[in-house]
Amino acid sequence: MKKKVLSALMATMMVVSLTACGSGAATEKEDSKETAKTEQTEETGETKDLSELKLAFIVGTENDAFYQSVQAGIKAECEKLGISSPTMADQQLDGSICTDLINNYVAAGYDGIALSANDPAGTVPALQAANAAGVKIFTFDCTLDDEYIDEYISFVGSDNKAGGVTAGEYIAEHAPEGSKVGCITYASAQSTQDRQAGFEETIQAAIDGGKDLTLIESMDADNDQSKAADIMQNWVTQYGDELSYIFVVGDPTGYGALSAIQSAGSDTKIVGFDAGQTACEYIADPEVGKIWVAEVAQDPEGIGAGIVGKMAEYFQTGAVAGDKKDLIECNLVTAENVKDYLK
Amino acid sequence: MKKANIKQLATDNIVIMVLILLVVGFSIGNATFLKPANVINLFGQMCLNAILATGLTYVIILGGIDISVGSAMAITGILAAKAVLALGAQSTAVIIVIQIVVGVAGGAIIGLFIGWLVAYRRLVPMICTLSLMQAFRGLAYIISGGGPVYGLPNGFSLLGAGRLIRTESFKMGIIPCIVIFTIIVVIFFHIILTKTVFGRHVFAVGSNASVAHMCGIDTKKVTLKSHTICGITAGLAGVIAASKVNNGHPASGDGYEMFAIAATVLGGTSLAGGSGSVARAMFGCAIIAIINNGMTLMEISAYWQKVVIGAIIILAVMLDMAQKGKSE
Repeated sequence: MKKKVLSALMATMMVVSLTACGSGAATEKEDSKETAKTEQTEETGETKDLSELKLAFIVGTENDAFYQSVQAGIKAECEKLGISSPTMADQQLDGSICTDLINNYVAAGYDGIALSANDPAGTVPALQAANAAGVKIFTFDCTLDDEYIDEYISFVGSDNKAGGVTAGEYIAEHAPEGSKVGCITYASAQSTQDRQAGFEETIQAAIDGGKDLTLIESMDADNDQSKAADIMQNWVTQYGDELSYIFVVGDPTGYGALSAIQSAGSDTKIVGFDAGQTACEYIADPEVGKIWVAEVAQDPEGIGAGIVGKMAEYFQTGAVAGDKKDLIECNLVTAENVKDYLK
Repeated sequence: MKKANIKQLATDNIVIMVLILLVVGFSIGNATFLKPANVINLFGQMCLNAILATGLTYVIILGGIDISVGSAMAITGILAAKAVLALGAQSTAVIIVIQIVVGVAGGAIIGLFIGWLVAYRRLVPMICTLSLMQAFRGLAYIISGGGPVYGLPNGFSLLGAGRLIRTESFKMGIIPCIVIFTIIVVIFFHIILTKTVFGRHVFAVGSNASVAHMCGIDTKKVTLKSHTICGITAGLAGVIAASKVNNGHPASGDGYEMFAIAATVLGGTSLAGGSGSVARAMFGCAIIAIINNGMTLMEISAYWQKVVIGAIIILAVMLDMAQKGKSE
């Protein structure tokens, strides 16, 4: 009995402390916003509307170079447009955490939330609630399925599937006849699944079109370099130089595959996705560039700036002109144009 | 009589039987599986898990746990990469010394801290290391600045990816350095656990801490030392993981604690404490490595791989527990 009472007490305390933390942080945020607002109004005057906006931006994970660049783009554009201290949040690639964040911002009376819907289905209920409460929703990088297209106002992102197609076309063109090609994927995110699908469909189409290639079963490296290295090592052992090209859906996976190819002295070539600085330096390197031959480049800063632009347009004019989905093209980076991507 | 002996042997070593079954199954299913090149790969692929499981065996015998090992790996991997870059080391020998010093020292500091919290501040190991798993992961991102630490000299990858004895058919070498390194670490800590007074104390504290205390064993010190050993092996695993891919990455080792704990338990180390063996944990590591390797070769879908690996671990542990229940 005592234990039960104690545990009930503990639970209540935990709940109370949690709410206390939550509201505390919110008030603090509000305070800082208040001061920022007055400063902003004095300085810029005419963009008064924008400076009064309370906007939140939820990225997939702050632990990734891609989203770090998206955040940089968001911050820079907000500063340019005079949107004061936008809230930056991290859903840690977890739909449940994302839902909690959205609910918190709705409760705190935000005007707009922009999120990367890495778990599209999982965040729909929270977004429906947010819309019901009159909070404007925007998506970037990853968006909702088309049946929920009314739940958001605008989307800015890379065309991940088209990026996979770009990689597939490059490999279909360069892989020698009779060779094998494969994909090391990350099966737990919509964006990487789209890249994998784009790649696989393109290769399959090339095979159907008469190109003599074999597409081996894609493997999941969980975005872990060491696992990617093990998968690559197994492939090199099984297929040897018959495996002419692999497509990796993200740069970290590519680093792992590269180390396995280098230590096996194999001839397999890598086409990556993300075009982070490390990968670009590899392409530019005379030695490593023989293995890491190409990258599909996204424009993360452009995505960040783009979504802020859409939000600003909406809150100033009440609508967003043009297509609901603004898909930013993915470019192919090879040794020829890599200079443009090196910082 | 003989029949009974064989049956007894099989039931006593159920994990080894599972291992043999897997080997037979995969060699029938795939022609590459038993090829020398793949067998070499297999030994290389179980090493990180083996190093982690070695230290974990100590804390699990104590009845404790350390789930922060994966995050600790990321920290020492990044520190080793940063140290090599900062010192401008070029010669392979110097680099290896730096790697081992950073792995042991970094790991020992982490392990001492955990040991102090568990032994002297009386924190529950699960909660303590669960919190530290988060904190260490965050630290890894802070130290690395959020991205990989790269641009390392070639010597950095020798321990993790290099191979010795080159021949015509094995141009890149036959024996992976990572395997030699792992064997040294495993034998060293196996001897400490089985042949030293400290090792006997670990078992005594794990079986019954109060009795051990009454017998004059400093149980706190034993706990502190065991966690330090676990920290050292995690530190070394982190450095080796970084060496394997020739960069220090803050996401390195994510989720590795679960495979290392599974390998340890598969090897017959009881989560309740009091019994276990470093050497037998290696069978657990072999099972996990073989499942991963075999399924990749057989082109089994990535989704199914996760299901199968979980199911086989549960099955093996259930069989093992059932056998132990009978013998008791």
